Amino acid sequence: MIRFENVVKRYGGFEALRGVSLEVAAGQVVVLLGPSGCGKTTLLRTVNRLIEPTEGTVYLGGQDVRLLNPEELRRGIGYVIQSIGLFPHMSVLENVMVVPRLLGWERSRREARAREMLTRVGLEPATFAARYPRELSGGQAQRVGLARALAADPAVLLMDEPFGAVDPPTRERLQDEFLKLQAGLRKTVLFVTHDLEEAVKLADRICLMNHGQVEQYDPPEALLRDPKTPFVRDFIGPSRTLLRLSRIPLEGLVEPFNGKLPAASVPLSAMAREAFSALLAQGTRSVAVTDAQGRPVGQVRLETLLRVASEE
Amino acid sequence: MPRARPLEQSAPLNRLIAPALAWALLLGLFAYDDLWRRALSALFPDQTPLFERQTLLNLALEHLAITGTALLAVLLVGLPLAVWAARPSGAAFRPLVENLVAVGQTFPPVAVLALALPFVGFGSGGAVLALFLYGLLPVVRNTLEGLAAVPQDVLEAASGMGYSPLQRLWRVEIPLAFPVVLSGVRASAVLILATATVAPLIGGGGLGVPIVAGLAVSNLAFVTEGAIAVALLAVLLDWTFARLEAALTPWRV
Ligand SMILES: Nc1ncnc2c1ncn2[C@@H]1O[C@H](COP(=O)(O)OP(=O)(O)OP(=O)(O)O)[C@@H](O)[C@H]1O
Ligand SMILES: [Mg+2]
Repeated sequence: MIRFENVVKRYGGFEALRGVSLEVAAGQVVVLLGPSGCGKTTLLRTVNRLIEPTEGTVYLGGQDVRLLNPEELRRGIGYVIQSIGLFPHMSVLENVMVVPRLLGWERSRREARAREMLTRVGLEPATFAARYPRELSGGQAQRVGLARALAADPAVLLMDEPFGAVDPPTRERLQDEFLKLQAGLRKTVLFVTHDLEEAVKLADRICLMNHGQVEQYDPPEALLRDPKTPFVRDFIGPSRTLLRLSRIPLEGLVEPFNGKLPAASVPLSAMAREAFSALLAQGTRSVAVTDAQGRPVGQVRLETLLRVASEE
Repeated sequence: MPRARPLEQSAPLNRLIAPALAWALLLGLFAYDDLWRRALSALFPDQTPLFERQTLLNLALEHLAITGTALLAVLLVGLPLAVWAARPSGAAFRPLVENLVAVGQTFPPVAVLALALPFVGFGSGGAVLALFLYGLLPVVRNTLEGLAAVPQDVLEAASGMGYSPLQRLWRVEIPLAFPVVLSGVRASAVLILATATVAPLIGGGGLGVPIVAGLAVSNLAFVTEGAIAVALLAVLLDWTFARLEAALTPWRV
């Protein structure tokens, strides 16, 4: 869906991107990860032509983006930035209607669509539609930013540290909601973060960058299991094991009870990491697993978790 | 927590009811000659209490007309000039524009009047020109400032959404700069209104007429009449703009 071919970006003598080639498959979430200044934002913005590469080509759906009118190109791509950039003089509803309006949708259609998007991102239109951005919390503003990016139903979504400006609990909630939303929408998402944990949680594939180059481009499991360069190994650091657990569903690790019921419990739908955290918090060696109705269906043992975490 | 409000708002216009009433009241007060005559003769018992050649209401309306014309000229020239100088295409001229309007204001208006005299002749025209030059600065400076103060992330988001440069200017930059621009207009308006009292020096009319005449014949009652009327107009004008600001930018804090 998006293909970067040997993309170079120079500022004077400084190379912000040094020949990046990358392919993002349709419907996937690809996370651009790496230390500050490594070129993530620069690469992201070559897609909607906010930045023009010095060399190389970016293809969107097989088309060289240089051949497209920049405004039309941008109206077809959802764009979310860390600072959100809501328009302060427009109500929440008007903010969400911006792109449909630019696309010339008629009023009733774009308003209905905007209300639907607000509902989708968890903001009750009756409460929020008429508010101005200054009347929103950080998390709410971030949701409006997402609704605005999705309003015209673009196939591609560019997200530059969209959850960077909110507190950790809110960030986690937004991440969960994003995953749920994405499961239904199946957008092609290019997502920038410098937070490894966020990358592992959200990505279908992670593109780890350093100094304007791609160090490794792999699914999170592969990246964690098999770091290809010393830089990748260092970047992942000691949290490897723990992070791998956050990609493993609990489902396959459940065993029948033997003896007494463990005090703590986690839902069956959770990832192995949640069970591990519960174990650490309780200081026990096993934790109960409950189904959607809250009935215990089995247990997960510490040994099992340690085994799958260190498996090659 | 801000409450939900209906999307179509009638509130902005409601806020302008009070200023409209105040203007009607003030003009009514100006028309009430008897009151002024009695008050001024109580203050200055041994002088002719009220300027007789023209009624106060008439003088005030003339004053407002001069002010309004000059302000209109300021807006017609100042706003496009400043917007253009703030654009990439006009950026090279920005320092020039800024300096020119600053010079326009450093000249004492009386001197501008005297210099303009040969070109525009004796009458209100010269006064309007001088007032126009004098009032240009706040509008131009605030417009430049307002446009420069639009947050970078908002601009980036606007471009990223697919606004063309011109659409971005109209729908994002100008609306966001508007409060700052409006306070420049407010400053210009009050400045012009107050300065317009020198208009009679080159044959213009307005509330300066009784002041200048009063000074010439040492009649403090005339001076006081004109000065009080100008002060009342200035205060009301300033307040009207304050209400206008609140009415037109409900999205602000
Ligand atoms: N307009 C510019 N002129 C010169 N250098 C620039 C310009 N824009 C970016 N750079 C440089 O390019 C490099 C990459 O910038 P970029 O914004 O892509 O980093 P990033 O990976 O997004 O970092 P962060 O995580 O801090 O946002 C940086 O070293 C930056 O200083
Ligand atoms: Mg960045």
